[in-house]
Amino acid sequence: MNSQMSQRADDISANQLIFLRSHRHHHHVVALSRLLLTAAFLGAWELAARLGWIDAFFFSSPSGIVTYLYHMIADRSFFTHTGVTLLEIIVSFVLVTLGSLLAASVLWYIQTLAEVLEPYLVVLNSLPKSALAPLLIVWLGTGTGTIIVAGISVAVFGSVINLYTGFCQSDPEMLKLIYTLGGNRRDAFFKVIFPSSIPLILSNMKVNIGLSLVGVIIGEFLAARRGLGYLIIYGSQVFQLNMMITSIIILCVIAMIFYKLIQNLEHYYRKKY
Amino acid sequence: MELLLSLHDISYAYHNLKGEIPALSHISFEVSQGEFLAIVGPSGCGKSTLLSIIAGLLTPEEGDLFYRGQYVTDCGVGSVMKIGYMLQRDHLFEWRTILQNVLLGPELNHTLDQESRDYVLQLLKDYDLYAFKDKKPSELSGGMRQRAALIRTMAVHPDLFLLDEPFSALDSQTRLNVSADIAQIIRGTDKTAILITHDLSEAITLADRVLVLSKRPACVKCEMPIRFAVDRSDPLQIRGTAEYQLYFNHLWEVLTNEQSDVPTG
Repeated sequence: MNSQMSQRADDISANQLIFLRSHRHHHHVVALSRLLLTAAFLGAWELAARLGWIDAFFFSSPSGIVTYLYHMIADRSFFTHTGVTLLEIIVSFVLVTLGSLLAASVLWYIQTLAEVLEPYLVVLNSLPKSALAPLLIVWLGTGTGTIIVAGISVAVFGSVINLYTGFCQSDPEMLKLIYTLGGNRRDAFFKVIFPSSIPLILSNMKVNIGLSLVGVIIGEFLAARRGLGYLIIYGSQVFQLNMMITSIIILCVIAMIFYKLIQNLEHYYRKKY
Repeated sequence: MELLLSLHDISYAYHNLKGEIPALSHISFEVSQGEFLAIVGPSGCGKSTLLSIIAGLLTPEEGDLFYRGQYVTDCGVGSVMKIGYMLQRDHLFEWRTILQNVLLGPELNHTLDQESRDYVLQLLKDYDLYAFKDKKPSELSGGMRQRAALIRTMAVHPDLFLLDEPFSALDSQTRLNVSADIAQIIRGTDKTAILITHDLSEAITLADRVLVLSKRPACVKCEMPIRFAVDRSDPLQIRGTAEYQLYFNHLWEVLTNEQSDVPTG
């Protein structure tokens, strides 16, 4: 943006330059404030732990977390646990996204089937999915497969309902246009419904990634021997607060990276179309 | 002129759990090859339903539809001839370029080849849209979009144009210019057209004949052939003639007696 500004500086008016500068200044103020807030929080936390205002055994400390993270990387357990959780999240997310897209398309195509299945979908979506996790362990045993199914079960029903509702809200006049030009219902889906729903599919992916993460962590709490969810539950059992909080911070970073990736995909789509 | 389309006693009703809503009642009329027919009537009287029946999107509950004497009631004329249907809004797809939009018909009919591509490129040149072929619809003005919609309709080489208030979303100045342009284009190719409109001026300036429908359930109230001594390419010149005023007053009188407060459907 800066290079664009300097390149175009000769072409734009003085008032526009003032506006652009104030816009940039505002962005800098917001970014700096965020940074300062984080630094102040971490500083206060570290100080409180060192001065004994809070018990570092129960509340940990930033330096304790950094030290623990260093040890995790050194003994490679960071890569093992993060890798397992990442794999489970990615597999759940991909299966939820593709599966719900396929299911919503079939429901749109066969309206009677949608009417028949609607109450089941609503009930399954409203059910607290953590209640299903012990059942999944009984049925599927402990292991990665169970955790992936837990991740899918949290996100998939809401995703199907959301996509199907979006498909049904497409402009009926656009569908009429397809039929008048000699197209059929399949053409209506691939030429109108699907392309017009891409913004919805992308925003749905943002929700799916968060929910898949929730499902995977619930699964790991109950049925894992590896992974960040396992570290959190194990840390709580042995009062290893550094282990718990480090794992939670790694999860935050993973969630942020996934969200940002989908957001970039969304920006790319908006720019192109 | 050769008879192209005949409708005999066409009736249609919409059904829901609350009851039946009759839309059309015993409608009969004929359309000749190369004719430009306008259909006017009160809001919600069933004009669009009539067009959908002709296209084959709806099947009439009673009555018969013939194309050049051939019985086509169940499948509409869309099964035996190419139809160009223009809707109230242009419905250009924002995720496609103008060229991709106008090629939608050949794509759907699996007839997309170099010949059809050359044909639409020529149409884009003829109607001053060639420079915009790679643009998105949102980058075009209302009039340009409607011309692009007409090219999309023409790309399937239709024998019959069904125009369902295609100018109603345009501002009055653009509407005047675009409607005259599109009528000229259709007349220039000697195609047949049926235009649904609320606008009496539009019906009189564009059509060879105006059909007035009654309020719902619609039946044919009157038919009026339109003849002008002056050139029809200039809608403003037509609106200044004495014949125009006579046609307008007569149609206004017929429609005033039929005013209905039923919502548009």
